[in-house]
Amino acid sequence: MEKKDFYEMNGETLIVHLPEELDHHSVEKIREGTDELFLAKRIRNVVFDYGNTSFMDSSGIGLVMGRYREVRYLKGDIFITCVNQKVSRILEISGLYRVAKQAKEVEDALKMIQTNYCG
Amino acid sequence: MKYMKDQMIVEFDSASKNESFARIVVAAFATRLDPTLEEIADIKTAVSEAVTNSIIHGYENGDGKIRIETVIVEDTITIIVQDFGVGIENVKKAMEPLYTTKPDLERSGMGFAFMEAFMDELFVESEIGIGTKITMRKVINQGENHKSQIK
Repeated sequence: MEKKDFYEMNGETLIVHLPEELDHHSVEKIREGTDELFLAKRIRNVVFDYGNTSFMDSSGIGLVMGRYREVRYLKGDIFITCVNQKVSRILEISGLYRVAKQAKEVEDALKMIQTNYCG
Repeated sequence: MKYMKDQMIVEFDSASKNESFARIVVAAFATRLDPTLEEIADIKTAVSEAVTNSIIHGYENGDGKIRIETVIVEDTITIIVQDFGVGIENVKKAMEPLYTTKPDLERSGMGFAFMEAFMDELFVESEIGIGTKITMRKVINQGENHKSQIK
């Protein structure tokens, strides 16, 4: 888990590969990492990759909401991708899908972003 | 059927790295009820929420002890998460979905809502300067189809 690169840039899109367990402890670290990137780069969209995530609590909701507030100024989008059954219920109850877009894979989200901005 | 009762008590430092320890130890204890994967996930989330509340709000990220008592009676698991921190001024308000006293820390205000959603019962007792005690209860394996599965 630690060895993997959490962050990846694709144009103005930040891709965050979330860890296996998304709780207050791990979210704090990710927030520090994304804060640094938001200061250093122009980020318009954030794609969250839940592919490895098998646990999530409300701290994970706060993380997505916080990034949503940041990209909103640039009229960007938040994408939630690769959601498995274990975390889908949490995401549904939280109402996050009202502010975040859903895509099956990271690639699908990137395609949606491209069509949106480049016609 | 023999009356079954089991108890487990664990106490640990208020630190975020102990959140995963807390939910894993309660989940491990709960396995003797032969819960479904979904029930285990529910318990883990609820415990994680309660413990995180104690760390962030009860002790405001400072030092303290968190105590978890888990009791199994027949098919019901009762989980009591207790801290000896600052306490909650207005429990009713704190339990409202999306309400948080720490928006700067990006808390979503969903903690109690998740505990309520994933457990069957939730009681919150709190006293300023004394601490907070969360009692959660869940009945495991209520469905008949589960019984036929294990046969």
